[in-house]
Amino acid sequence: MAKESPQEKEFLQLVKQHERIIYKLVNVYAVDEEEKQDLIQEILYQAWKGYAGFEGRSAFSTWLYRLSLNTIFTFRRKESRNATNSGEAVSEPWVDEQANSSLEAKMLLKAIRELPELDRALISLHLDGYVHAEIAEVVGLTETNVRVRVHRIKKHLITTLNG
Amino acid sequence: MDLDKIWGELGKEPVEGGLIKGQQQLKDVKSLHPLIEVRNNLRITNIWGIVISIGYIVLMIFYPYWQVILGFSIVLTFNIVFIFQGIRLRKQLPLSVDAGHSMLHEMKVHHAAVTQWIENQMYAARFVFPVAAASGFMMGGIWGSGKCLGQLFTKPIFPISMIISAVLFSFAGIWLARKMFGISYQKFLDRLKVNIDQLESQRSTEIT
Repeated sequence: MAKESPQEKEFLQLVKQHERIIYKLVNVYAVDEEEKQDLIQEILYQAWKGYAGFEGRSAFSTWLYRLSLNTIFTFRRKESRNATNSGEAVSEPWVDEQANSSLEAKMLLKAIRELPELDRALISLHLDGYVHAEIAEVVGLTETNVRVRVHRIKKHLITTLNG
Repeated sequence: MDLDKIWGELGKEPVEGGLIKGQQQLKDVKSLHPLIEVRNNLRITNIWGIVISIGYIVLMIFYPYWQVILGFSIVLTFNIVFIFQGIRLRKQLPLSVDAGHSMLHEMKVHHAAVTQWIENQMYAARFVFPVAAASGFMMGGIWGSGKCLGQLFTKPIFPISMIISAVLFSFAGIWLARKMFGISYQKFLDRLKVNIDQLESQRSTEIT
């Protein structure tokens, strides 16, 4: 096997550290395993291709988050389905694998997946700790829009989970 | 209810085996992105364009009738123009997804690139199909009957059949091309458009 270049080694280490970002976002947008695998592969391809241009002006995690969302939104051809609407049994291998995940966590993921596509991006960014100004920049909305929308989405999610 | 805390529980466990197990797999990762597909299609279209152009030249040499030469010369000219347009468009297409721009910007760029490619192909089809069909009909007539073109055109059935064939072939070809583009890219373009429109309408709405 050919030796890894320092850049490849560095990239692989960074992806390993932040692979949760990719898994979380893919699971928010894709339902079936095939689509998930395609999305993961595409994000990795785009990340590796774009890594040379990563100048470190932002954290790698932020860069990877942006790249993952941009890839998800420009890659998928079919309408994002959710398990409830498609009539499939709610089987979440990835969530089930998370032995420590509570039922609440699984229900939250399910509720997020029932939101419109853009709202899923907003709430994922918000729940992962990005401030409104950063979310606005990532998505292309104004800060005011983001603040109000995030507030509404959170309210909706809490109502759904409590109901 | 603390949504942030609940959200944080997801993905805590390490992913078994990791996303990439080593360099070999990193090299094996292939893209299925529509934009990469369009780039590849443009390369294939350009190669075919060159092969077909050479074919037209060969046919003009073997069938030196002015009508055939005129027909194929027109098609050849369009072909060359479209090959250059294809090369230019391929160069303009983004090579990969950009993390430096917002989702809205990126979706607009990708939507515009795929739309432009489809428009170019349809534009080419409208010009090339009728002339190619008429030229092919004339050539087939010569080949099949062993007569020269002048003799064939003395019978009114020949030009009438040629026009009908060219019209039918062109409509069928354009319809098929539209159908193929629709199957391959319409859902993708529609999805992008919906999300672009939603973001733009939200931007323009002052929420208070």
